[in-house]
Amino acid sequence: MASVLKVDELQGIVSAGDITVTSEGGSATQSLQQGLAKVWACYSSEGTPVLLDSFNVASTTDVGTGRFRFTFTNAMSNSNYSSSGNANISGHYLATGVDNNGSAQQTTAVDKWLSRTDTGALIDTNQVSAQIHGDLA
Amino acid sequence: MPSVLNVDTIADAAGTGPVALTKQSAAKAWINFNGSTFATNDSFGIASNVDNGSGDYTVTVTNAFDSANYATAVNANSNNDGWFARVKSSGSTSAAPSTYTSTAVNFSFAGGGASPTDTSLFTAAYFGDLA
Repeated sequence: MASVLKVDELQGIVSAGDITVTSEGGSATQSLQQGLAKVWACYSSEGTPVLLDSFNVASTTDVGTGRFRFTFTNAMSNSNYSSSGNANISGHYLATGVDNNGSAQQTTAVDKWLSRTDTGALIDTNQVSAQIHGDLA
Repeated sequence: MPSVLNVDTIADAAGTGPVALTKQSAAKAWINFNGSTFATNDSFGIASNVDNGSGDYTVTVTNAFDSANYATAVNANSNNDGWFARVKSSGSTSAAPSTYTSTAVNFSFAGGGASPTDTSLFTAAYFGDLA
């Protein structure tokens, strides 16, 4: 019978924010905390923007067509985190990235853009996703 | 009152395998680097990053995946002109990517049919089962 440990919170003993876990294949160990997504969001930027679902997102800002900001509830320790994203739309190939027209990656927010790859035109859509991996403050 | 467990390492009952995180999965590696100066700003689980040329990077993880069937998510800094980060193609979407192995992925930053170019910020995250 599998053993199940039920607990509400996990902390490291040596360092409260560092717990090591074993890999699926059993040949490696690495940090649990550093692998967890610290922010994710599913957002509709069409019409009246709506944050459809999220984790650690305090607010969203419609900066303009195809440009939006996600502000975090808990700040990152620095701006050198990994951010990724994707988007859904019919009839166009889309590109999404970090917006260098604004302040781009900050510890408390990230600016993203979405554009067509054929024309480069910024565009809104009904489903944009974003994820942040890195260290929280 | 919430229960708090203080522990440094978590493994399965046998002590050699992983524990299941109920309805959750952690990234196994991630990186944030400058593709122009080629400086790594921060990373987790990354062994090396090779500059193959303009907008062409091969990032190798420290701990190998159990196969090449894992997921990567990438992004880059751009000027809203349709350029984007992606897995480097071998030239055809029906053929395997240039490099996508259990330990390394070849990424590129390009737009439309233009030649790849360097960008000041490139990020990637890796998800899947480690060996």
